Amino acid sequence: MAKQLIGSAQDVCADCGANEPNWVSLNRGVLVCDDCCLIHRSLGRHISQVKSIAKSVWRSTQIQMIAELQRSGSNSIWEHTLLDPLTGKTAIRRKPSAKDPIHPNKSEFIRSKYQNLSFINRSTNKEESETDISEQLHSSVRTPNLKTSLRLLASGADLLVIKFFV
Amino acid sequence: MGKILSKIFGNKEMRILMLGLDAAGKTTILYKLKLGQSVTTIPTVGFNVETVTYKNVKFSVWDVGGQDKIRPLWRHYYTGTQGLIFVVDSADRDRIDEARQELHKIVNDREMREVIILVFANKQDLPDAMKPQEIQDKLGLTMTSLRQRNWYVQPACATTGDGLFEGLTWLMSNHKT
Repeated sequence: MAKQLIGSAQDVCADCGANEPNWVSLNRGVLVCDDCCLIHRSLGRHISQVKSIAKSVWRSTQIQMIAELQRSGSNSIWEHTLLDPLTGKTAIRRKPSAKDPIHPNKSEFIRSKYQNLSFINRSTNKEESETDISEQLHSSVRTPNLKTSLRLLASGADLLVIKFFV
Repeated sequence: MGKILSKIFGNKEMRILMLGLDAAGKTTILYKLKLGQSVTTIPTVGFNVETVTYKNVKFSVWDVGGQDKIRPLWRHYYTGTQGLIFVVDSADRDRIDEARQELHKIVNDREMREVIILVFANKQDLPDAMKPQEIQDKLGLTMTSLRQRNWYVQPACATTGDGLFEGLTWLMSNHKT
């Protein structure tokens, strides 16, 4: 069932571009290949929660969430500065390709991307406090726009924070 | 000859089954015990089995994959098991209840009634990892149904090896031959 909705032939690994990614990182909303899955796992589940597309039990809501995040291009959240035409050219780090070795190319990239959040958009958040973005998240989760919610979570928004202010 | 020597030196054997949710660190623990080094692992689809000799005890450790879809296969490994190692990712608060359910399913099985239970509270190096006391409570080890069982929670870090041999020591000193 999951296989029909996610992991179609056009999909590529979010980290190295390899064809036919077999894994999903649930909390990052991206599809990854076998090699990159290995690195995701080694970082621990607090960084990435991987699940096999074909060999796992999926709830329909989980499949919908991932399919929607895939459709809206959730990977751009984690690679914002790499894709930005202004900063992209000066970006020191190059995204690895499928043929690159796991160590050090893929592992270092994946670590920077998800553990250190090196490529997310931080520029707009400087004047916003954690409370501001948490309030935005509070509104965003009421809309169907999952990608916005995920982007706010990546920026450090916390739904629990808001409880003390409203 | 081997038998005579093992009688003299008191060599013992123990069959250990190692279970736990996916990505808890079972395979990493197995190879840290066997090879003394940290390896990167892929999700285990079937099982890995290695013998580890420690303090004259030969442990045959069966490490069975923890992905949700293959958990129903765990029971096929129960027969003859003398000790259970249940591995928990101490930083994975979201799934500690899922781990509790799986653990209770295992130890309440007829074939697992006699086994001693070692819980590795793994990944103690991670920030906000649950301490052994919290793991013990959340796994329901103090519940009436498990009170008579012989269990122990050992804090561990598979990548550095911390706590692993302490766990084996508990297993061999609590194993009744």
